[in-house]
Amino acid sequence: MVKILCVAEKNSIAKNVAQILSGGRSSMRPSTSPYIKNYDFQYDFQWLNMGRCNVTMTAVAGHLMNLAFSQNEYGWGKCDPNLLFDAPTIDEMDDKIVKNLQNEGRHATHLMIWTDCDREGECIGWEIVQAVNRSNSSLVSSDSVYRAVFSHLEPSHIIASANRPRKLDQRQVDAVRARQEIDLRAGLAFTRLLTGNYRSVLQSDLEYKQLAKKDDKPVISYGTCQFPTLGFVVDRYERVINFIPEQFWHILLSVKDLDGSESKVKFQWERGHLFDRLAVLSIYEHCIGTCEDRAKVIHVSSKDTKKFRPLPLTTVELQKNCSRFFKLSAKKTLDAAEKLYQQGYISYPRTETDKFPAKTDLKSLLNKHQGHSEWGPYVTNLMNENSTSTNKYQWPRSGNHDDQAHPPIHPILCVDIAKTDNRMTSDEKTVYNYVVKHFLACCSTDARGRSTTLKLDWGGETFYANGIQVLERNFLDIYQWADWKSNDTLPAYQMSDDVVVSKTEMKSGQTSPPKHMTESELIMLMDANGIGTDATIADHIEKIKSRNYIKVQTGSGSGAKKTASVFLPTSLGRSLVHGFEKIGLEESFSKPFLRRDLEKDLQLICGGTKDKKDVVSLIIGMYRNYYQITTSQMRNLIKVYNDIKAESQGQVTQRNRVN
Amino acid sequence: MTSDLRKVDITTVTNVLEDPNSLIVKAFNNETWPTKDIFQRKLITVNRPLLFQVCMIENISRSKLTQVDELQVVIDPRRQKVDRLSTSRDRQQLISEVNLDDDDDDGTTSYHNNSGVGNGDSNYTNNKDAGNLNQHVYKLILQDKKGNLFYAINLDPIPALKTCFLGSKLIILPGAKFNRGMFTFNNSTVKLMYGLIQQWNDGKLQKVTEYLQNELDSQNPTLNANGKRNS
Repeated sequence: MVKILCVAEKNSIAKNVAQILSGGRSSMRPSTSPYIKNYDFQYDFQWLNMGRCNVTMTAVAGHLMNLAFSQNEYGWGKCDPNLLFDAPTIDEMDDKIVKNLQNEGRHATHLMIWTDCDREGECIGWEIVQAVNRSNSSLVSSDSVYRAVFSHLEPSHIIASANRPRKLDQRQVDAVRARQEIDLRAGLAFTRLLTGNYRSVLQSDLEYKQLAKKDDKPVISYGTCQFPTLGFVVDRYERVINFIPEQFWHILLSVKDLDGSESKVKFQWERGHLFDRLAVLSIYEHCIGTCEDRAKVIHVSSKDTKKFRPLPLTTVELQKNCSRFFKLSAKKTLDAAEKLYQQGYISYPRTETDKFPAKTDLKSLLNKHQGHSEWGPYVTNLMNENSTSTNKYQWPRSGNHDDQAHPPIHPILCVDIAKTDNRMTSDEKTVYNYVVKHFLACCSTDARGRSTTLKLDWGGETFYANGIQVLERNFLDIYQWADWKSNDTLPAYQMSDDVVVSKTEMKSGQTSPPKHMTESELIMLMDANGIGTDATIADHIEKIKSRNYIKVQTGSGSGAKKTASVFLPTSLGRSLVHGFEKIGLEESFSKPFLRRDLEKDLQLICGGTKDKKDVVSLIIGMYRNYYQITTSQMRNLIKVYNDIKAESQGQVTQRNRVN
Repeated sequence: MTSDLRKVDITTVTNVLEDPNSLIVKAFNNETWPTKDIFQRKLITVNRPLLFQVCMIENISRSKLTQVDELQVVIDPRRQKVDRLSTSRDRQQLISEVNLDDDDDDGTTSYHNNSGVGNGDSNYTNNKDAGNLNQHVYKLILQDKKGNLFYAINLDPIPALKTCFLGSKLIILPGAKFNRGMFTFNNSTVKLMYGLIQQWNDGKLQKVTEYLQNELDSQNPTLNANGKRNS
């Protein structure tokens, strides 16, 4: 009797896929784990060519295995952390879930993996195979393991995925296992080393104590992504506090319009501004001396211009924009998006792809929203080819990124929050609304306008003014976060016209410090520099918060005008970054280079040009060397901490005295 | 006595062996620019070629702080900050700054390598260099054969100024303007003669960095003795 065991990454996915494949006729059984259910039904897998077969759909809960060391031999305090670079690893498994897989897989003839289609999902698939193999080794030996490729829970997509499986990709599994091993060995060794040495000095750290939860014992964790993430925040902080304002000067022109009236437009100096008063004064006096109030038009241009609709939505863009527009943290955004995906409302939210596959039926996705109480009329208008509106359905723009696994994030179902009684949380509603509006904007027409540039020569210096007239708002009507407004109309001068200068000003300004790091900026820096993945960036940020390496300074104001919260490093955070700088290891710890090199190596493993063993051996060898250096220089690390602590306490005392 | 004016300190030259009809020698032999009431002399047109040597050069289109930061990274690459960093090594080509407010009209966030965070002011979105990158204005401190010092700026883009050596020679030509102690010249009113004084260029990066840092400190009375801002 043919029996197919299907295993998803989460119970919610198993439930939805079972619902779709069974046509709503699956029966549920409990499993050995309270969080996992088993769904039985029958289905005709075309690739099997066996007619309707018995199917059990079950799930795991993320990674099934945890790469670890034996606690008896290598537990905290039981060995020199240096030994962890060579100690044998073990795979700890979640017993209850494994037991369920063994029970359900015992009589299965085929195993079908339904984990998320990314590198981690591939590895979880491999872990599932290892678990099932314990009770049914013939499954693996007979090559009866398949992998479904899917990216959202739209029924036709799921059915197509069920009928076109592929084999598990061992290279992706190797890449994840390599990353896990490096993170485990380097992470645990350095965490134990640092914690052991910093714990006592942190006892008297008031800032640390205020931030730490009660009864928390200090843990100074090291992570290959955590430290570079911290490095971004520290470097920005120090740029801000070491900032020195500088004065600059520039020249502005006001002119008379053709009819002799005063034009509202001010002409800017093409040189921008100069950081030298005498230089600007010399030029200014030269202009006045040679041309007084006469200028000449030397350039007139007018051209159609566009404000482009957004590119299809990636995870990082989603996190960045939810942070900017709604002040939602990256983690909350991703958590909400994950829930929305598990309920089938949106596509898989972890994607780097910013172009839609050519075959995607976007029109039918859009049509689902025609009845929506808020954006229904917009969609109806968009899809109506006969409407007089300039805003017509357009195939979305294509970006340059394609992770070959998932399409851009887009809505699958239309949920009218105002009409239906659903259980969405406030964050989920916010994220859902944003995903839909972003998608609608993607499928709309670019905004159009006309841009005009007028350049004047006054005493040999060039001054310019730009004018924008917004002619068609199009996608801006649904994507309210993009700002594009018309400005004052330029005077209608022609080339070579003489212009009367009504006012000349030599003005000064002062440079202002950069802003502290916002979460959205940090996300972008991490993404651009290869620190973490779209799925893990939010976790790394949370981790350095929870370790009290950084603290959050809440933004001021309220509502839409509220400024974004910013990240500031604590004394501990700064001292870790500067400590590793002091001992010459900043390139490998607080700077993103080593981590980025590792990420490249992982991609080479996936591509088949590098071997897992070689990569692990090389990187662990480097960390072993760093460990020796750090151990021998620990006194310097602690000295840096004490110096920074004393410096910041001195500043507090000085502030209190002033106050 | 010298046979090549471009390689020597012109304040020490008493006799020139070069062709007396050459422009450089004529400019050297011409009467030097008067220094009396120098700050009251406005918009005077230069009427003769004048030879000078460059004592210092500074890009005044960019903030001093930005330049100090960049020079310090060149001197010691370990000082590079990762929130805005760019070096010549490929593996260290980082995305250094992301501009979240600027949609670049293509709906995507723009990336900047090594642009000038920290130069923002309330009136400008000036996190980038001022104005057109090709039109940088350099302020030169020029010295004539008598040792008199003058300022000068270029009004036209002159790319060679970016790499100008200390002690290099230039001739201000007739037609250039002089205003309150500062010459203003363009491509047609200057002739770069290049050359250098080797000694002046030893540790040039360090010297320029210190010069800019001193300028910064002197402009900012709020700085404490360590060069840091008082809180």
